[in-house]
Amino acid sequence: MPPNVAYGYFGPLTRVAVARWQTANGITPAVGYFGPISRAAIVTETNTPSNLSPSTEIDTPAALGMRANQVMLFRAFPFEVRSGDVISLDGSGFSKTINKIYFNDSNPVDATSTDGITLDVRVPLILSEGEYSLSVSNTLGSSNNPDIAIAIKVMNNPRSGPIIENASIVGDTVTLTGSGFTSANNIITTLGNSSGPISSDGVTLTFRITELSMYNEIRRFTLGNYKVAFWIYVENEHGANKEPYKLEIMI
Amino acid sequence: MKKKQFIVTAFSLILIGLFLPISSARALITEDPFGGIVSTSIRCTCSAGNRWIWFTPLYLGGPVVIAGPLIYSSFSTTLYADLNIAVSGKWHIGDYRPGRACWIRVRWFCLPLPSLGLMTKVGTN
Repeated sequence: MPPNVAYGYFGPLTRVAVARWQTANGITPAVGYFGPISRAAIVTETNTPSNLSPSTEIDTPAALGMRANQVMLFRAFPFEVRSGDVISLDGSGFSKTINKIYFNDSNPVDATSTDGITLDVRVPLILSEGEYSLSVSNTLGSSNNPDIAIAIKVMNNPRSGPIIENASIVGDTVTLTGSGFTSANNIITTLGNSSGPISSDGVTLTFRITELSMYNEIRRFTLGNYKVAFWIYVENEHGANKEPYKLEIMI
Repeated sequence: MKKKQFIVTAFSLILIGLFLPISSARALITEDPFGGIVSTSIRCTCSAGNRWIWFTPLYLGGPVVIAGPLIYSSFSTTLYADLNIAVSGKWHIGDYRPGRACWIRVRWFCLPLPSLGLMTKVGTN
């Protein structure tokens, strides 16, 4: 077997490597077998502060599947708020001890996160009406990303974003009932997005799943034989529903 | 006499085994197996490096065969041969952990695009 390849087999090459490590760590006899003395040495070595991960990794847990050691901001909810309201931030790499949340790169507010992925912060009373881009800074750096601007709108009379209370499907037509729908709503689903804004009377919203951007691409594999979870968001100028509405459909 | 002793011992071991607590290692396992063929995929525009992959069919180890999405993360999914991740028509097999891991860009914010979970390891043909 060639050296430096992990076969999961303890052979002569591994034994020589262990012996070399034992010699380097003052373990005698350096015979190449991993016994209680070597085990104690490993435990001591891995518990030495210089070999621990930086404390920032423990203080700033990453969200599932996200890059560690990077602070990321995905969403502030709700979108429209009054100054003084509490908003909830979703992201990754938030610190459990200290984060600074900036509104248009100024008016920093301190906040802590219990889980590294959510953060509650009060909008400063000093903010006047307008749209504010948010960023989070901590020991990992800043969440600022030129491609993704996470914003809130400070208003004296904020409106709630869309809320889906019920959904039904007849043929390929989906009807949503709820509140906060406007004259221009975008549909975002697990079968793709609507091709353009869809009008609503405020409480009902109708669209066709066959017109969603990924419907045909997925349907050519499923051929109408599969029951799938169809998750729906409605987004408009006042925000989007925080959690998707789930509908079981055949596709 | 020896036969009787054997039966008593075996019965005692079975009883002890029945009342042993589930080991902590087993209780911590939250991964489930999956296998399926890729239909299509999209890039998670807010969580760069992650990919939302739709499978048809998707086998999750139960009696019902479904179709649906899982997430591949270049930061936390261990990828095995033949490395054809998200290639349409390729079989994928591995483990996944339930949870949200794909965020997509929508005007002033990002939305978590639902899926069955994050692949922790995956191999492809």
